[in-house]
Amino acid sequence: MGGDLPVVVALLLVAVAGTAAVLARDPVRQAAVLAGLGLALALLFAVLQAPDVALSQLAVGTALTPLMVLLSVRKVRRKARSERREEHE
Amino acid sequence: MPAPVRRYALAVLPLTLLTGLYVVAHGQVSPGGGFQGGVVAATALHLLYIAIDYRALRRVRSVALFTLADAAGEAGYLLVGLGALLSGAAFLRNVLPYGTTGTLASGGTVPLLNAAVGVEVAAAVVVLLAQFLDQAIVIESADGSQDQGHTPQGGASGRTSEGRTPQGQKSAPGSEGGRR
Amino acid sequence: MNGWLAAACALLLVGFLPALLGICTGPVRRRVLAQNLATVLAALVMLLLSQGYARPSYTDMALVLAVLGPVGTLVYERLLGEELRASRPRPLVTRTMTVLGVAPVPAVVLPVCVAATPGRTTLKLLFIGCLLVAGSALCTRALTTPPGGGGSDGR
Repeated sequence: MGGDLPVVVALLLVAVAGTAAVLARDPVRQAAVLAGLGLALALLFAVLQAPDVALSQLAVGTALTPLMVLLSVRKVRRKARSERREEHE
Repeated sequence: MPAPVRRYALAVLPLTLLTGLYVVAHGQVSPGGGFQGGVVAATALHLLYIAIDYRALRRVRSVALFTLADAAGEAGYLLVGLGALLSGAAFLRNVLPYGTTGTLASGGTVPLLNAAVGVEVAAAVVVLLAQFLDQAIVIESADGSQDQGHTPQGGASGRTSEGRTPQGQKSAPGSEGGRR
Repeated sequence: MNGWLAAACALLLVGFLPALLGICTGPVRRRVLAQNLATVLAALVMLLLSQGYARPSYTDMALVLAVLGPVGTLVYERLLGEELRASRPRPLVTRTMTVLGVAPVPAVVLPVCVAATPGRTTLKLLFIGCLLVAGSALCTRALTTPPGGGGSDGR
């Protein structure tokens, strides 16, 4: 059990973050939770002795994924706003 | 964004680029390699967008050049593999001396392959993000007219009748309540 | 199971788990501040793991986190700027988050520096520590700037 404690803790963190990611409905808040999930996953990969996978997760999930998700949210909101403005004219 | 943060972002840009190159170059002795380092390097370039604005990034990043670099990276990978064929061995077989384990000069053709993959991934991520940014960023010029990035397709302006999204869009993520 | 791994588990449970809960609950400002803190703590845990598993190459993960973590936080600050600046942060919150993001760094980096082989590794660890401190402090500052103090340009 002693050597497994880091793995158990990391799995617990991934479970918490994953559940929260599913329960978050608003895309903006979900984007923030995804960052947390990415970090938890990277920690899990690190304690499972897979540093290459952890590095890939960190590289992609820390800055790239939030950027893409938030840009998409911004685009969708802008489109919704312009259509609302159209309807009011 | 306060000025010290902006300065920090611009100072960190070359450091991030160097870290990406470091991860690519040390692929054979430490975790990392072409993919990881390439993504880190591509993220470094986008610090220009984060710290300054999209115009600054557009000035530096010519999408055609990066598409070319993407193709060049892939071609480099293939050429290294074909180089093995030329010397009579199988495709992608190692043809360079091995060196001593654990040093930078070990690994034969693996550093070359890592470099090719690094170039390819970095260029591909830049091109990918260019599509996202062009869709989402509206550049307002001084006279108030808006220029929606580079997007040529009509979907960006959304005035066609078949592109209408239903009323349900109103209750969606926007929490600004029509303020802007 | 040595002392380093125990310290890593402790830091995960006492530091990273509350930060994770902060990311998952509450208003957007709290989530992004918690994300900033979480990247710093994750980098420190990576350093402890590199000593615990006796693999010096794990410090590369901490390096990438130290460099990319603030970039991620600044992405949120850049694209969620309006929502973040809609309310004023309390000075106590600002001070607490700044201290929380900076104080653990020397507490972890210095023992790891002492335990690691002297030479280039020490320089690398100190570099990671400086990046973590600078990134964390400046990102907290960027997120808690009161409205009107940031200077928005055409986006």
